[in-house]
Amino acid sequence: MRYFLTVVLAANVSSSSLVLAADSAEHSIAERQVRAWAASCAVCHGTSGLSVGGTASLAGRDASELLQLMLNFRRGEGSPTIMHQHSRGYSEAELAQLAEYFSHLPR
Amino acid sequence: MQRRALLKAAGLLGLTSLAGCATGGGAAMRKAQVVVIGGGFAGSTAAKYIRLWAPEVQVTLVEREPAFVSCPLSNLVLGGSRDLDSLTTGYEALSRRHGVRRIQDSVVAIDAGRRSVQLARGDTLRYDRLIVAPGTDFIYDELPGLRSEAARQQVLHAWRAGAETLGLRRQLEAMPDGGVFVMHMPKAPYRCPPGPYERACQVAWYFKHHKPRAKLILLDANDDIVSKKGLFTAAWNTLTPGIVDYRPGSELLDVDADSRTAKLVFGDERADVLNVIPPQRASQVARDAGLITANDRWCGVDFLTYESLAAPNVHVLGDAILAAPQMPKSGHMANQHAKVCADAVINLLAEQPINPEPIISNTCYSFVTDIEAVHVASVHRYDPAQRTMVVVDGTMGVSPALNDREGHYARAWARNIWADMLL
Repeated sequence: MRYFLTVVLAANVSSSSLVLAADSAEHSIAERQVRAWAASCAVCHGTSGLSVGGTASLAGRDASELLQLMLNFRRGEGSPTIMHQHSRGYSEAELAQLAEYFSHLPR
Repeated sequence: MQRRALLKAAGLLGLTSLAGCATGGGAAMRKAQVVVIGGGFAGSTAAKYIRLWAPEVQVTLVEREPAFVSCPLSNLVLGGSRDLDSLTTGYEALSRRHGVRRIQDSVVAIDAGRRSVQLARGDTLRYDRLIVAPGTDFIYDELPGLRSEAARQQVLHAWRAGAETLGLRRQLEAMPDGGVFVMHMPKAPYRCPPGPYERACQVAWYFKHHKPRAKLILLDANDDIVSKKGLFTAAWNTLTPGIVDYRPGSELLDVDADSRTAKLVFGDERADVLNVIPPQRASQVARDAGLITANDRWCGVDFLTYESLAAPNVHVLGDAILAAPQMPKSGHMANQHAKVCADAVINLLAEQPINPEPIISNTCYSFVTDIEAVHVASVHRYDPAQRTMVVVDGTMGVSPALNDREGHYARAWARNIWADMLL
């Protein structure tokens, strides 16, 4: 049996309207979702954010720095070749989640 | 300030490293068996990621070849700048490092009712969830001249990297200077939209440096270049001028292998070397299992899980699926399908909710010389209203021009995706 859950992300912290149904699993739905999103990046940046060469690793980077890079790419800054396209696939809140996720991965 | 607020919101979700963590689901998960058919971009990635995210789930990978040979970058072998070894990766790490049980064999039949897979050498595998990532087969129904094995040994497709890549390279090496290389490519959809145009770039590059009087005729069944049109046109005109003769709207009626002749609606084209890339459909194993649902060619799936529309507990990935709008049949995309599927299969086995909003990407690099490349990329996310993946506005695009920066990233993409799927 499968069911859907809508995870509402608040862009504004003070409204605190984050809705999570943390189930009995060790990892919440939101955690598994961002892990799945982040896996997309591995094709260039390596499994678990560890590049095997030619691109930046993302694991263990400062979340704030990663987020700023992605926000810059979204605006076409920083001389991206493809990252301006990829970064536009996500909302700012989603980019923040991804940056936070990568920051916790072991180097 | 905005950035700090976003990060704080992310932190409230308690996101921490999930590496090596087990999922919930207890005893049911520990006995769960997943069988994966096909060790290409999709199958290998699915096998590895299920093990990575749910090591209590047993995964068996069935692949008939002893090692993985990458079709992406194989056109560089034709161009002369790469060898096949540099595109080849073994399957040992999937077993050694990730505990994937690998069987080198081919599949005879799938019994979706009994949830079993019969292998050619006699084994029967039981599964809780089956992932079918079989790639594509060529359709020879409309090309009687290529139905015999002998004909296919003379007129190669080299559209599956390996022996045929080497065979076609040898044919090109043996071709006299001043000779004509004729390629035919099928109507879309086919595996790797920019691939045939990249092949024309690579062979033209070889000719420019080694057989300067040779010519290349690219016969395209499509009405126009289907991918990176401006970039390929610029490459042919500026990097290898006078070599590539591109002819769209060229429907292939038949082939005469002995005389190396492509028979078209408007006449015949005789070649010194003839390369025909036939039309494609989902491979035989998917066909026999009743997984094809569209145009007698492609397997329809649920884009949240890649579960087959035709058979429960069976998931289909990669080139074999009926793609969403503007979703290319690429190795990169197959890798992305596999991760969404791995996540979904784990959640389904554990009876946990699936991700309602998958987001995946594509980047296809084409090498226009031995070292320079250009790209097309896009991001796709699930649209619940249309129940399919749609391209996110502002993400679809190509390189603005030929350039000397992207070759580096193209090589990095290759190293990282091969490692991501196999190491």
